[in-house]
Amino acid sequence: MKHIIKFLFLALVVALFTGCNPHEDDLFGDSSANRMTAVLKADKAILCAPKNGWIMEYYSSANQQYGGYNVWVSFSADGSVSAMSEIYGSSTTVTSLYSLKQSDGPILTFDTYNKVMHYFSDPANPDGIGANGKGMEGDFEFTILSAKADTVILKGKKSGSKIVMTPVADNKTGTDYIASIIAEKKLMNFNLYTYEVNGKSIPVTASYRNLTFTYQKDGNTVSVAAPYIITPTGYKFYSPLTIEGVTVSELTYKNSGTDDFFEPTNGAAAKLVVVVPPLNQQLISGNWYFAYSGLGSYGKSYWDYTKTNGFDAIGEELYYAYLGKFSSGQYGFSFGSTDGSGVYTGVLIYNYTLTGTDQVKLIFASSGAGDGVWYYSNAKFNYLINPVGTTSGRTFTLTADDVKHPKWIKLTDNATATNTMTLYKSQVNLPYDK
Amino acid sequence: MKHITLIVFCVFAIIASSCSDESIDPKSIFDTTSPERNTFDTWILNNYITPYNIDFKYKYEDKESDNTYNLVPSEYTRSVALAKMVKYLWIDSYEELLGKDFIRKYCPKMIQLIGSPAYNTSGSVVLGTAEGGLKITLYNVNALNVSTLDVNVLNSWYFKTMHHEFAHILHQTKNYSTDFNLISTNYQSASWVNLSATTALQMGFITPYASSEPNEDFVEIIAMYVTHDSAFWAAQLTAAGTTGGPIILQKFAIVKDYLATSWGIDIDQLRTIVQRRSGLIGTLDLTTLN
Repeated sequence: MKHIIKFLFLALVVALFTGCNPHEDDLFGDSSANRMTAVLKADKAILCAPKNGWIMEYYSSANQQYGGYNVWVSFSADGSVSAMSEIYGSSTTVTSLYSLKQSDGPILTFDTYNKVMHYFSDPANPDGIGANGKGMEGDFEFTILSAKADTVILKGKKSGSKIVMTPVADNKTGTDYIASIIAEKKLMNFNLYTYEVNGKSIPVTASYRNLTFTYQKDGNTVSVAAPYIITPTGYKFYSPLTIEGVTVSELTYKNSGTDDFFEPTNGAAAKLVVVVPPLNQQLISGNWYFAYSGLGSYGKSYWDYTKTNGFDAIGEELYYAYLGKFSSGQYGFSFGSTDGSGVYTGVLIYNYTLTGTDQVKLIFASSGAGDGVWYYSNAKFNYLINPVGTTSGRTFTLTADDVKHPKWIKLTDNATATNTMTLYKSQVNLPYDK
Repeated sequence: MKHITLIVFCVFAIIASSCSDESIDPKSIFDTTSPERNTFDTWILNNYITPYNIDFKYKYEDKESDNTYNLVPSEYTRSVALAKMVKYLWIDSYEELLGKDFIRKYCPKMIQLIGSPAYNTSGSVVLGTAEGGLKITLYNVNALNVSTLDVNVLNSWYFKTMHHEFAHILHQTKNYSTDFNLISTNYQSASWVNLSATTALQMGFITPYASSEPNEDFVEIIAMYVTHDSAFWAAQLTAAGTTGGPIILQKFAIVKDYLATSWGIDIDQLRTIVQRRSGLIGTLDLTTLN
């Protein structure tokens, strides 16, 4: 019996020993709070290290619909950060504050306003991109996924976009890099392409910096979006694109003298060829501005009449007029008229038919938007738009200075030789004087 | 059996050692060292935190912001200007009237600045929000033009909101007479957005928002009265006409009496002080942090 008692005692001791022992092996070497503090300190050191700053491949929005933009940033230990981007140019550097803190993971936040950095997050984008309240849907708070001296990978807090930062080499500057991007950008102003791969020709459209490839796959029509960023030599995709078994991540821009095209930097067998849209297509897809001096004698006499009996009579001046889309989205003769203090805008709506590459028929739709109808009825705008077309329509032949990048398009009325209108790509203010 | 004492002693010794606590890390995970403060942070410490215990947050903090909106932070120089103006036009006004202890006791404890407006899907924007009398958020700070101050813009975007929210704190601390709620019977609740300013006046509401419910009506009267001069008030009453004018005056009588009786606030004196300070806003140094 006493053996049982001894045995029970021993059992009790063992049970108490293992049960009461609070010692647990730590999974990590230190408490989470201490580890976070150490990570934030190390991240700050890495961010502040490159003396010439970082280049950020910045993408906004949950589906990166606007593509990527190059932003140069330079962090200081005192909590300030300077930023420059290809949007505002290499001569605009803005300084603001940043913080590194703990939220769900280590967070880098640009927490005071910086015109360059917050361009992408502003709910009312300075260039009108995106709806009010949304803007480009870019982040200014980023989770630091990894931070090493040669690469920092960030993830946008709301959009989830992956943003890669690479340090600028000691013998280069952010200014030079941004300037090279802007120069390259100027050469690559395209919005229509054909992708040649595996014997196929796939149509490609562009919106902002996002290419959409539409092709056949297993008998279905598939559309793939490929957001990209501009590099000093071409385009780099947000994620590698695989079509017809060929994978491409980066494209190098080339120009053969007459043709513009891109070839994969990795040497893959594919080619992105720039398509120049026909002139009539370019006319109706852009905004083309009127100037009095660009009108033929026919147009001038109508405009003279409207000036005396329309504008002068109501004490206003034509501020601008263009063929293109009004803010309502409708196509037609869009205008702004000023009384000196405000501008009244409107459109007189036109329908169009395109034939061939250089023929366009413009037909007045007898309707307007904004203040269009008022000016038609009260300021003799029915005369002003007569050279463009009446309800029976006018057919024009188009010519331009450079079919690839026209600065002006001249419309010549097929029925009336004296009715010509040269329309300009750049905005013309106070067209009567120009 | 003589060993039993030894065994018992050993057992207790083992229990004692195994049940002992692990020693606690003397370093707390809550960092109590002073944070790094720049000149502005130090100015805020001296002018907001220490005297009034108000945390004036000019940096964007996601935890303090509404994530359903896309917002951008407030710009630094404008934050400085607004911090100085809020102190001069709002805190100091009440302090001049009733002394430091009053404002210190009842003011909201956090002011958060946001650079952009908060756009609602309906297209309207949020001017400012207040939560439970503790926190006020002021939006659209980046629209502030520091070199050309427009008092009307300042009032409509920032100061009317501050007086409005502060009035909520006051009536939530000490109730006003329920007779007020019986004067108007046509409160609009969410449909207030459909009223024009003139219609609201003629219905007996000082602003369209005042028509949403009695509490808002009450504080809008205070906010509008104090942030505008007497000529404005008279013009509002005229626009309210024979239908709305007497209603507003009836409400105003209760408001004035409440402030005087419950708080010792003479609303006319408060208005005089606020108007005087508003007039001097152009002379304020909005950049130096001393």
